[in-house]
Formats: sequence, C-alpha cells, structure tokens
Amino acid sequence: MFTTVEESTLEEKTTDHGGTLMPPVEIVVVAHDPDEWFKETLGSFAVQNYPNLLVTILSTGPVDQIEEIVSEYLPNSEIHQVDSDHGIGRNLNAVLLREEHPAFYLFCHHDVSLAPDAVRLMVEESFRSNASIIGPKVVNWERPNELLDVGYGMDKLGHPISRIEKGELDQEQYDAVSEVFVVSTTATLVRADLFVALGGFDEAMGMVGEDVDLCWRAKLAGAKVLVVPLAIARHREELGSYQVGDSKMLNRERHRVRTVLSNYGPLHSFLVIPQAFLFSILQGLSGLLAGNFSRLKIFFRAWGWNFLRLKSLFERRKRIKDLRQVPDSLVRSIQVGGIAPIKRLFATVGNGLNSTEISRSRFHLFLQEIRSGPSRVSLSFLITALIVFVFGSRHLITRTVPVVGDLVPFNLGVRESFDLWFSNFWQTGIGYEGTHPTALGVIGVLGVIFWGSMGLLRLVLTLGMIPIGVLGVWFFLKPFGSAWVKTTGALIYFVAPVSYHSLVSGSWDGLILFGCLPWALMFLGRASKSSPFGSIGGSAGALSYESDIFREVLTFGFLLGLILSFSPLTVVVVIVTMVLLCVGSIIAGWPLGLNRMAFIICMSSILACVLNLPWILDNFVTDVSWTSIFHTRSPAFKSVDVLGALRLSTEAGENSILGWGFPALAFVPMLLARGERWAWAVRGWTLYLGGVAAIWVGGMGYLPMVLPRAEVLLVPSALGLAVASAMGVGALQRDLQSFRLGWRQLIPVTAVAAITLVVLPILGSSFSGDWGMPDDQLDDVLSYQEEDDVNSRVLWVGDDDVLTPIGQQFNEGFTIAVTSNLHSSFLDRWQPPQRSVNDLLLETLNLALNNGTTNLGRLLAPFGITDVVLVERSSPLPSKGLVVEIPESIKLALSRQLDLAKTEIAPGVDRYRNLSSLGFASFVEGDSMIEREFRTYASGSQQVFVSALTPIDTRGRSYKGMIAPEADLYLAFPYSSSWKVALNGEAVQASPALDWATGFSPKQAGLVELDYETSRKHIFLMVLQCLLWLFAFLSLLRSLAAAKRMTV
Amino acid sequence: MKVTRWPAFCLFAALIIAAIAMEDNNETTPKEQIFERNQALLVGEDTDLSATWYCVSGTVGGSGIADHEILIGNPSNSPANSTIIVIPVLAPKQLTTDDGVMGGDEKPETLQLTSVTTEVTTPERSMTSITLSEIEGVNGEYAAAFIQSDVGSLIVEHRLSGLVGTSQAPCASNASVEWNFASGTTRTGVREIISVFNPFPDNAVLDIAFTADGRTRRPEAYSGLVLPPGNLLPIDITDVVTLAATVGARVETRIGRIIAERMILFGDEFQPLGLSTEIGSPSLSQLWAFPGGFDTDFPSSVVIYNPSTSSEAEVDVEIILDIETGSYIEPISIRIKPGSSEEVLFGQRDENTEETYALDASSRIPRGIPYWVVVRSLNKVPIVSERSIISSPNSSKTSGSNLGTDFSGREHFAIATNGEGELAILHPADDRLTLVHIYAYSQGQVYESQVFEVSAKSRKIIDLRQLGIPNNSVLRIVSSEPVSIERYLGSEVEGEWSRLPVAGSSLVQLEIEPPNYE
Repeated sequence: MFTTVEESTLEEKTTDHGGTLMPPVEIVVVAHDPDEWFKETLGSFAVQNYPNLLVTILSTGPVDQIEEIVSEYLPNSEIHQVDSDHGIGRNLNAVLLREEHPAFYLFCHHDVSLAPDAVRLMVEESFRSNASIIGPKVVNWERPNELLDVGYGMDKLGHPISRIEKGELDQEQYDAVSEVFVVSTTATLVRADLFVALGGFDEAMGMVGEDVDLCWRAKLAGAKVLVVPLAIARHREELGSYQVGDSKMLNRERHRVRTVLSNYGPLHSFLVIPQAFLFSILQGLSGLLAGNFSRLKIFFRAWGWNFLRLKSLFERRKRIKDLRQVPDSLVRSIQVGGIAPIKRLFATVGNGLNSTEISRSRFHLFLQEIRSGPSRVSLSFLITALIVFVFGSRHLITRTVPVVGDLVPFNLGVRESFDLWFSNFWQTGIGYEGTHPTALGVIGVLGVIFWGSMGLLRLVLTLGMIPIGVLGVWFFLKPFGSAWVKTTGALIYFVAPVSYHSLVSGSWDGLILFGCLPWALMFLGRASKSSPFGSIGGSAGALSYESDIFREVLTFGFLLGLILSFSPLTVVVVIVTMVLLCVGSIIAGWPLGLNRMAFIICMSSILACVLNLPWILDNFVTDVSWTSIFHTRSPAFKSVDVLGALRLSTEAGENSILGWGFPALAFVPMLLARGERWAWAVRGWTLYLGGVAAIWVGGMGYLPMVLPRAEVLLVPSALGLAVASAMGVGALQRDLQSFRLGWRQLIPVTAVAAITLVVLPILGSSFSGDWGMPDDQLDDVLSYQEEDDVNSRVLWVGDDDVLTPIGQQFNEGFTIAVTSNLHSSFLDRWQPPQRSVNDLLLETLNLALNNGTTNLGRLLAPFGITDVVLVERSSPLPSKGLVVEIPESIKLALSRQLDLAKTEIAPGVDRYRNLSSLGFASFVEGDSMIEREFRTYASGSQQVFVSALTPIDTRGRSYKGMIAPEADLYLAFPYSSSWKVALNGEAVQASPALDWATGFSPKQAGLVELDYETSRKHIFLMVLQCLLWLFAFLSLLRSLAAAKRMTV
Repeated sequence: MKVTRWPAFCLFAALIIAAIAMEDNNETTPKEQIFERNQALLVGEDTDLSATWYCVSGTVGGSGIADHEILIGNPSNSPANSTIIVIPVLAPKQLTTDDGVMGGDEKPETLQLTSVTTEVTTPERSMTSITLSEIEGVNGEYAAAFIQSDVGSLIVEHRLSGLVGTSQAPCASNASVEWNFASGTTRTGVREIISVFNPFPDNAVLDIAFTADGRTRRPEAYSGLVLPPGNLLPIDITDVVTLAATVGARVETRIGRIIAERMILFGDEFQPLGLSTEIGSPSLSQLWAFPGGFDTDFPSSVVIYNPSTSSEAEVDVEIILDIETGSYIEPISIRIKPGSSEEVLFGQRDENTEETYALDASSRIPRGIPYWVVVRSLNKVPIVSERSIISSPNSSKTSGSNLGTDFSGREHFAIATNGEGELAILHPADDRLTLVHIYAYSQGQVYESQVFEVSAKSRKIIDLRQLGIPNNSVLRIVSSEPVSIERYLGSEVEGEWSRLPVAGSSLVQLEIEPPNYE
C-alpha cells in the first residue's frame, strides 16, 4: 500500500504559504503545433493561485518558437523537445527520467485553460480524500456552460463510459466530488510517486486510451480516482493531424484491447478476454450492415497489432502482477455492468432533445443512421445484390459447383497438397520431374485456413470470385467519395454477364480475372497517384491512403504472386490494363504518374515471379510459348463479333438489345464529366474498347496464337464500363449542375433507362438457381466406368474449352492432355512443360490421323496410355453445356484402329480402351524395350506379354510385383534415376527404354519393389520457397499495419 | 484542368466504326473443304508405319462362284512385307422356309473356320497376286482377307473370277459404322450376297435394312445381329428380299465397326451375265458424280437411294455433255421418299424385258455425244447413288453395279493386270484447268505418261492401251488439282466402271458448282 498523502508530502520540499505547507505541483504540457490560443493556456497557468507551481513544456516542434511564446507568460518554465510521433503518453513519460520528482504532476493538454483556482482545489481534494488521480470538470472553451468531461465509468471490456451526454449543459448537476474509474489526460493531477510506481503511461499506446489504462492500473495499485467539479478547465478539443478518421478509432480499439489483455489477472482474463474477442467480431460484422467495412478492418488490425506484440503484453502483465494490491473482483465491482456500446444502443436519450426524440432509443437512431444519407444507397445495393446473388446461386451453394471446363474439383486434402508440392513427381501428363505449381502450396495453406473444408474453399475460389470482384470495384471507387458512384460501379460490374458466362462455360481463368482485376486496378490507381488516389491531375480523395512505394510494391506483388500461381493469364491482363490506362490518359489529356506506376508494376511483377520462381523456372522458362499462358484453345470455336462484344455478349449469335444499356450508361460521363471523373471515364472506355479490340483481333486471325474465350477478354471491358458508368453517375451528381439548362438535363432519364436494361437480364438469370450452369458433369458419366487404377493413363482429346485438363495443341487446334485417371482432379489444371516425349506422342497421333497405322494402341502403350477419351461437350446431355465438335477426321482416325475398343459413354463422349496397353508400370516379356529406339518398336509386330505391377500407394509412386527371369520392368516415365528398384532386396540399375522411358532389366526372377524418391535438393528448394512466402507475408502485414489514410 | 472532349469522341467512334467495317469485309477466300466423312479407299504415305486392307467378298471353294484373288501393289521404293490373314467360313444357314418366306427372327449362323495366316513380299514398284484358295490350309466356302503391311502406301484390290464372269475392285482400307448399297437386285437369275466382316477385337452389333419396291424392310433376323471379333458373315440377300428389281441396303452398327462388301452374280454357268463386286459407301453424300458416263447402247441407269427415315430427298440428275451443242439438257428432278430409291434410265431399254423405269432420260440425250452425270441432292438430304447395267441374255453387254464417286483427290491409284481399260478423269472445279500425270510401276520399273490437260468442269477419257501400260502394273495418277476418277476394266462386252483408291493426304470434298442455265 502507498503511504497517505499527508505522510508522503511531509517528506517533500514544502512551501510556507499563509501558514500552510503547499506541496510542489508541476504542470506538464505537450505542445504540438499550437496556435494563438496557446497563449491563453499559458496565461491560465501563470495566474494560478497555487504558489508552489512549476511548468514544463514539452514541444514537438522547434524549441525556439515555443520559448518565445512561453517566456512571455512563464519565464521560469522548462522547455524540452519531444518527438511528435511518440504520442502524448510516451512524451509525458519524459518526466520519469528525472531523479527528483515533485509531489504532483498535472498533465495537461496544450488547448486547456485552467480556472485560477483549479490546481489548488485539486491538490486540496487530494489531501482531503486521499486520492491519487484527480481530474477537473472540463467544459467547452467557447461555451463554458457546455460540459465536456466529468470523469468516466468503465465496463468490463475497457470501454470508458462518459457520465454526461454530448452537448449537456452545466447546471451544477455534477458539482459534487465523485469517485470515477477514469479521468482523461485533458487535465489530470497525478501523485508523482504513484506515477513513478506505475511506470507512467504505457508507451506502446502512445495516445488515445492511455488515460484509461493509467487509471485502471492505479485502481489495481489501490489508488483512488476522483473528479473535483469545482476545479474547472476549458478545453478547445483541437485535433492534431494524427488524430483523425480511422486512426483514432483504431488506436482506441487496439489500446482498449491491450488494456483488457494485460490488466486482468489469470481468472478474469480467462472469463473476459473471449467475451472481448467475440464482441469485437460482432462489432466488426455489424459495420457491414451499414456498408461500413472499416469496423471489420479495425477489428483485424487491432487484434493483429496486439498479437504481434505478445512479448510486450506478457512483460506488462508481469509488471502489473507485481503492482497489484486490489483483486480483480473488487475492480469488477466498481466497473459498470454490461457492455457499454450495447447499453448505449438501447439507452434513452437524455436532455437537450425534444419530447419525441426523448422517447426514442439509441437503437432507433442507429437504424435511422443506416436508413438515411449515403449509407442508405450502399446498404440497399449490398442487401439487394446479396439477395439476388444468393438466390441466383442457391443450387451452387447448397449442392456444388459442377466440374465443368477447367473448374477442377478440389479433391486434394491439405496434407496431400503439401505432400505433392514438396515432391517433384508429377502425376499428370506423361510423367515429369520438376516443381509443382505454387498453387498446390497456396491451396494447402488456404485449406488450413478453411479447416480442411476444400469444398467451401472451391466455392469461394470459383463462385466467390464474383462478389470479390464486385467488392474490388466498390473499394476502387471509394476515394471518389460518393456512395452513388460506388454503388453504380459495383452494380454494373455485378450485372455484367461475363462472370456468369465464365461460370457456365467453366472458365476459371475468367472468374479469377473477374475477381482480381478490380483490385489490381485499385493498386494501379494508387501507384499512378492519379486523382483521387493521389494528387496528380486533381486533389486526393478523403479516403485515399498515404503513398508508400515499399508497401504498394509489397501488397501488389504479393497479390500478383497469388494470382500468378493460379492464372498466369490474369497477370498478363493486369499488365495490359496498365498500358490501357496510360493510353486512356493520353486520350483524355489527363496526367498520370506513369513512371511511378510502371516502376511499381515492374517491381510487383518481379516479386510475384520471385514468389513463384521454382515453378516458373521449371515450367515457363523451359517451355516459352503463348500456349503455356493462353492454353491451347481451338480457332474452330466461333468467337463473338464486334457488335456482340460491344454489348458484353459472350456467345456468338446472341442478339439481345438489352446489352446496349452498358455502353449507353458509360457514355454519360463522356458528355458531362469534368475533372478526375472525365479522366477515369476515358480510361474506363479505353479498357472497354481494349477488350472489344482483343475480340476483334482474335476474330480476324491477325495473331499467331488463339486468344482466350470471350468471357475472359471481356472482363477488362466489363470493368471499364463499370468505372465509366460510375463516373457518369458522379458527373450527374456534381457536373450536370455546372451546365446551363438544355438537352443535358435529359441525360439522367437515359441513364435510368440504361440501368434498367442491364439489370433485367441478371434478374431473369437468377431464377435458374445456378446461373445456367450445367446440372450434369462429365465425372458423373465417367463414374460409371470401372474403378480408377493408378497404373492407368488417359489421353483426352477435345477442345481446350471443354476439356478439364490443360493440355498441348494437337492437329487443327485441338487439345490433347494426359491424366492419370478418368475422373477430373485438381492437378489436371496444370500439365508439365512440353518436352521431346510430347512431340513423340503428337507424332504418333498424327500418324494415326494420316492413316499411317491401324495399331495406334500399340504405339500409345509405351506412353502408359490405357484409354483415349474424345470429349465434345463440357457436360453430358441433357445439360446444355458448351459443344465443340471434334473434326470427323480425328474420329475416323481412331475408329480405324484395330486395337482400340470403342465405348460410347454418352453422346459427345467416347472412350477407346487400349487393348495393347502396358499401363504405367509393367513387366514386359517377348519384345525387349530396354535401350531400344521407339521407332523400331513401333514398326515391329512382335507380340508382347504384359503383366502390371501392383500399386502400393494412391499417388503412383510405389509398386511391387513378381518378375519372370526374361522379363523387363518398363515404366512409362521419362528416364530418371529417382526410381529405385530392389529385386529381392538388391538394387537394380535403371536404363533408358524406347528413347525416353525408364526401364530395368534384372535378368532374374523375384520380388520387385519400385519406389520414387524425391531428391533432398528439391525439398530444400521448396523449404526456401515457403520461407520466402512467409517472409513476404509477414512484411506485408507489418507494412499494412503502418498504412495511414491521407488527411485533407 | 480543362476537359477537351473531341479527341476521345473521334478516336473511340473511329475505332468502333473501323472494326465493324473491317469485320464485315473479312470474308474468307474459298478453300478446298477437308473431307470429313469416312472413306473406304484410302492409300497411305510411304512414311506410314503400316497399311491395312480388308477384302471381304469372294469364295475359296465349293462351287467356285467367285474365286478370291488378292492383288497387292507396291509403288514404294522398298519391298512390302505383308501378312495376309484369311478368314474362311462355311455358308450360312438358309433363312427361308419351304414356302419361300423369310425365316422369322432366327439369326443367321455361319461356321467360322480357322483363319490362316501367310506372309507375302511384294517387291518395290511392282505388284503381286495371290489366290486365297491356293494358300495352304484355307478351306470353306467364303473367305475374307485381312492384309497388313509394313509399307504405308500399299494398294490392294481383289479380283473375283467365276462361272458368270470376272470382277475387279479395290478392297477397303477402313471400317465403318455404316455401309450403303443403292443398286442391288434379287431379280430372277440373280444372286446378291453382302459379306460383313468384323476385324476388331470387340463384338459388333448390327442392323440391316433393305429397300425394295418402295418400302423398307427390317428383318428381325438382321436386327441386333451380333458379329463376334474376327468373324465373317456372308448374307445371301436373295433369301431375304425375294425377286426385287432394285434392292437398296443399309448396314448400320449399334456397337463396333465393320466392313461390308456386296457381290452380285448375274445368270448362271449356262447363261453367264456378269459378276460384280463393290465395297459399299461408308457414308452418304449430297453429291455423286459418274465421270465414266453411261452407255447409251445398253440399258444402263443410275439408282439413287435415300436411306433417311424421315426426310424426302429432292434430287437433280444433271447430264453434262462433253461437247457443247448450244442447248443445255434440263436436269431430271426427282423426289425420293424416305427409305426408298429411284432409277433413271440412260441407255436403251431392252425390248426383250418387261422392265419398267419411272424416269427415262435417254430421249433427252443427243445420240453420239458422250456425257457424264452428276447426282445432286438439292435439299441437302444425303443419298447414295450407283450405276447399274442390267443386261439380258440377248444383250451383248454383261451386267454390273458400281457406286459413283463422292470425293476427289490429287493422287489416285489402281492396279492394272493388263494394259487395257480406260480412265475417266473428271475435273470438278469451274475456274481452272488441271494437269494430269500417269505413272505406271511394274516389275521395279517406273513408266511415265505425257501430261494431260483437263479443262475446268469437264472430263477426259484416257485409253490405257494408247499409253502402253505394261501388264501387272500399279498406276499412280497425279493431278495438279483435285479430280475424281473412274476406271473401266474389261472389254466392251464384259467390264465395268469402278472408283479408284485415293491418297489419304490428297483427299478433299467433291465440289461441283450447279449449272447456270440462264
């Protein structure tokens, strides 16, 4: 227990004043960029009727300027320089460095004027009540009859509860000395020995919430906190530039959390902290109802900030444990019951309001806030869009997103994903040793976050890309500062048919691009510093972030790295988007931070590549071609024409006039917009026409490669139209009134009609419940076939648009792909790079196509191919799906083969079983394959006798079997020494077989065990890549935590 | 900053207008259409690993009505090692009852005999022949031959010799899920046998439909007929569709692929009227050409069969004279009901028969002026069309039936056992001429003809005797443009036209512009 005030002050240096000993009091003020009113503050200190008073000014600016002002009023005061970034609490702690302390410190804001007797009254009450922390009655600077602060109560979660209502008048209703839980640092008299014992303010807090923490700790130490209402302080409430917007809310929240996490003992921590966490989540989510994402963001940042400082928290808890004199139960008893924000919500409004309003609860006011003003627009859109989207996707959510096109199933568990990622054994294709795509690792990590629910993860990464993209547009348009602008842009992007066509045709690339491109555009906007993201070409928006090139590169690069691992095509489109933005700026005649933007995208792309480096080196560097990015789409599929593309129609022959609503709405800003709205409207139009131009160029056949499908190419167009349309609404809000009365005043009518046109189709589509996606999937009909065997390989032939696996180009632009079984797998989306053995396979197929053989099965057998499947439909009948017919010449070539047995699985899906197949791993007798050329084998007619090895694992990396003395072991895998064979326990050396494969010739009978071993070098490389991702992620978190919004 | 709108307006408008305008002008130049239908007579390349041929019709014993001889031509520069697998069977059980009525739903049965394999080497640039009945171990009555060779460009034909005549035709290099025959017959004194062979390792399930007398018959016995792997099934149509002047047949598989070949025996050993064998058409077409024309001195006709079950075919039979006479011959328009056939007579009616023809074109054709014929489906309903010559005991011409051509190519092949015969080369394009070169490969030597010129949309008949083609040679006809070729083998009395195998790499769709009568 501390000594009483009387005892302690006897030991202090005292002053005789009228026969009374007056303990020394030191007023400590942090002066931050003060104005004229600061003189009045200093004057109030100078006229205090307390004789033993010292004043110390801590200046965040140059001492000379302050000294000039201070010397006029308080010539004996001390002036020291402090750092403005440290905040009030840490700066005030400067007094702790002294060897000698006065009896009391009076910490005071620089915009506070004390009544002449304020100090004396507080000191006297301190003695009278044995209080350690005393606060005055704080009133408005200009209107002294308006109360600002008479102390605070506090709930169990650390929320301070003001004793007064906002704007409450001083009618002496609080003029009794009261014990409170918290007095603010506006003006606080603190006993110096207590302040030293407490270790001062928590320096990690800096400012906001540091007073709550100090008072709480004082209570734990057994101190009393009082308010002396007769001591009056006037307060200007001058906000420093560091106390606006989210930062104050964020600081308050994270410091509250820090206080709660550290000030309770173990038992109450166990009881209260989960409640605090739960309440924070609810608070964050409740913000979404009002279209306010910042609360959720604050939740993440506040709790994240504290979790990143666990060491500091534990140290603090230890110090408090040493300090604790009062049990938590006693502290809880003086806290206000319940949770303050909830109580506030339902509490009746106090004085100062009319009778009608008095009867209303705060809950009603909250609802009114939601219903009124700009939030009403946002909320209406968000709720309506959510309802339409959930209604339109109900079958996809409640059942599953069908496996169509390249919407592969997520059939790998978390462990399998990591296992494969660390292995260099490729299961797909004709075997390959190399780095797996980074997406496998990313899926593994996301799988952990989703608690292993890979189905939910798939739903988010496919269907979820639509709301993610819409949110991206929303956030991109946020700096424009208008709810109508945000809503219009998000609405147009939401109703653009491209994403739904991507779903129907199974284009994952299209969905990923749809989800990511708006976010990429936002980063490009920030990188360019173009108004309103920066100050180039206009003023910066109120909600834009301060520029920080390191943070921007890190954030954008990390995002691009993630995208690249799933869809390299999207990264190409992002770069093209940057080019189009520049072109748009030139056309608009509006400046853009080109150099900065180019630098950031270059560095971000490099970072993205570095994050995916092993995969890129293995797959793209060794196989540099457009098809490795654009895939192998067939030119046979008819693309949409220019008129269709202008309407965002993605199907050839679709002739709806409703689509003209998109360009009609986007044309509005071309007539009206001014300022940055004009610039972004033209940039939007450039994006729009850029997508249309890609369709046109592809259709005209001017390019050496076939471009992706229309729903992919038109994503930039949809985004451009969304941006331009949003600018149109912005122009109607702000620019229309600047024109004289005339024809332009009719434009709003046109805009409303255009919006109606584009919204109607999406409402109609939503009734299907699956946006028209097929009900059936190829896996359904293929599941009737026999069980999968890891010793088998399937050769798929069809158009890239209908095949699930990604493959290589075959005759007439068609695609062939090799997978390990008849069912689609997540791995099917990635194929190993092209090598000479792929050419050998193509050569074999071309031979059959040109009537060069009737024994194709024998030629395919060395590749391990057991089945050939021709696919003409993305989904089987009766679902509509996408149909791309395979040329009759290919079908005829296969039907000619004597050793392929045809089975029609479903209309448009034919399976040919290879009657000469060897399987993946087999013993071969009768015709040796070891160290023999493929062509010699192919032209021979000697019969071979095959027996398959028994697979031990499901990943095709372990086999065993009994071998005959004259038999060879043949592996349809490129020659590799990583395959280890043991015959009766003794190792057998591998040999090349048929120019490319792996063979073993043990020359004796016995038990053969075959295993694949990944090299340690590869595992080490993958560990390095993991560390790189981790490092990038932590840097990103740290960088984002430091991000600040701009002040205007 | 001041907003200047007109550059953006002008640029965007110009881009959109230019794109739309240029897109409309992006008309592709006419191209030769890739042949997208199955074709039974394809010859491979030298570089191919193998060649496979199926010769299905023929006999190896019994009464010796059509002794089966295989002719193997090797135009390549390396010897061809061929494996011939002979699949012999005994005749199937007769399905007719004592009353001559078809035997209900009893499936035809054959006794499959053990297949016999033999190896044959054909020297480079020459041909060999082998009679199946002479191969050791071959027994039975009917036999098919399955030939596989290590030379990709091998050509295989077969010749049937019997008491009623001789016939030579190319074998099939492809199997198919359907085979169509337009012009069979089971009239008095005629026997028609369709042989079906399944060379694949899985069962084939097939249905056979016949068209005669304006109606389609689908006998229960030939519905869902299972043909096991490697089996041959000769079906005597005479027992199924009795005494029909014209019998169209369509063989379809539900599962598997097969080869079907027809053999017609006209007359008997006492009154031989001819022997004809023909691989069916593995697909239907909207356009058929008969470059060899029709003989006006004999009762020759074109038979058009519409196997569709629902669509009526609107067909024009165009007669194109070799010499322009100043006036055109109006095409003969026919409507063919689904599942029926029509016949158009070109030659003179045999006055000794009571045969009646629905349509007689002979009166429209100027006498003495040679012509060729195109059969065109106007409403795109695919059809099959055959030339038919039905002679009588008093006629000096033997009978036979053969398909027209529905494809064209730049490289055709034939085997000529003697230097006689004719080639009818039709150049279907109407805007350029073609140059034709004929090479003959015999006993390791290569003989080359002069260059022939064939004008646009016309034909040229080349008499092989005038070229001095050596005996037992392989003919290779190379043209600068795709052409359709028919070959006439035999004498003026006994002989018939037939299609030629074409190099698979040069095969294109037959395109003949309709005549402009204005």
